[in-house]
Amino acid sequence: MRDLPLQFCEYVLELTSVHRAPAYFVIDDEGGIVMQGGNLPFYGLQDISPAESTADDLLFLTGVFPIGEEPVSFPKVEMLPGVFADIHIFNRSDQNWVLLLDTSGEVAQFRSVQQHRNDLRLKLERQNRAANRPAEEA
Amino acid sequence: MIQKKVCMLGAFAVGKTSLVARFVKSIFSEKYHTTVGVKIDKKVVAGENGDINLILWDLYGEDDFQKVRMSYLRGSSGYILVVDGTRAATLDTAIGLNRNVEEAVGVLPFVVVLNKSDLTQEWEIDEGRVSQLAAQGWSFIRGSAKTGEGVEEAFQLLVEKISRA
Ligand SMILES: Nc1nc2c(ncn2[C@@H]2O[C@H](COP(=O)(O)OP(=O)(O)OP(=O)(O)O)[C@@H](O)[C@H]2O)c(=O)[nH]1
Ligand SMILES: [Mg+2]
Repeated sequence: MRDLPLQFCEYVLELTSVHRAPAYFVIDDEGGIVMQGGNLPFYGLQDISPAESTADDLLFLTGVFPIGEEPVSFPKVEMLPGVFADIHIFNRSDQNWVLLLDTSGEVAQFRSVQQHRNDLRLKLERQNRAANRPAEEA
Repeated sequence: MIQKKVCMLGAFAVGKTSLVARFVKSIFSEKYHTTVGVKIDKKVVAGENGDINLILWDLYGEDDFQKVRMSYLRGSSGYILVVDGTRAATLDTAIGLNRNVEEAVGVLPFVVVLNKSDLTQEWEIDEGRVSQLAAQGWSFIRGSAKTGEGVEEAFQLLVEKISRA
């Protein structure tokens, strides 16, 4: 946030931490969990512990490592029924940083639009097929 | 145990979620609940060198408004391309998706499921096109999330392809 005055940076941080339930993991190159924190219970990840778990227990990380220069993101991953996270994975100081941000509200809004749209499309497709069929057979 | 990520890809309402539900939980529902984003499931399957934990990524369907983001494929060992046998256009969507995947992440093992085989009366897929694609090396399995036909076979075939890749 190079060009933003500090006050805006702080405000953006505040918004994120209040509204988007940040949670994180730091993963080493062997898949060990080095550090974790934030609102993990929100995503159902309260039972993950650095002592007893590895990155393999975090199914959304399967196959993603190693991460190069380019960060990886998985938008709208369902973590619990109705709870969705935008997941960001990036490499800093030779460790893998995994950040989860809540996006459940956006998903809920979008779902009703998408459901309606797809239902309507299927109905139109069916009508078109019904209209075309007798003509083809004739 | 070895973990392998597999993505479910295809047009909207072709039966991606239903195939995963049939495969993982042996259930089927007629009601259509569209997928937003991605839901991750898992199932242990037998591989050639021991058990494999399949991590299934059930993605939202592709349509004109919403292309599937290729970043979801990151780390995938393979994918299932799902076609709705009663909607011919969904084969074109699958062909387009396959092209996008190959451009974005390279060539990966995949299996095509021609789903909804229980709806024989409404079948729309042109056999000629299927043979043509099969000649190019595409593997097709006719299946039904409703009856369960072909479902185990499709995932098993993909696992075999992944093991050999
Ligand atoms: N008859 C029949 N219906 C099926 C079959 N598979 C899925 N369906 C129905 O097709 C509709 C769409 O199924 P979904 O599994 O939600 O499709 P999807 O590809 O996940 O859809 P999106 O998430 O919107 O992309 C539902 O009404 C299912 O009941 C099948 O094998 N036979
Ligand atoms: Mg779905």
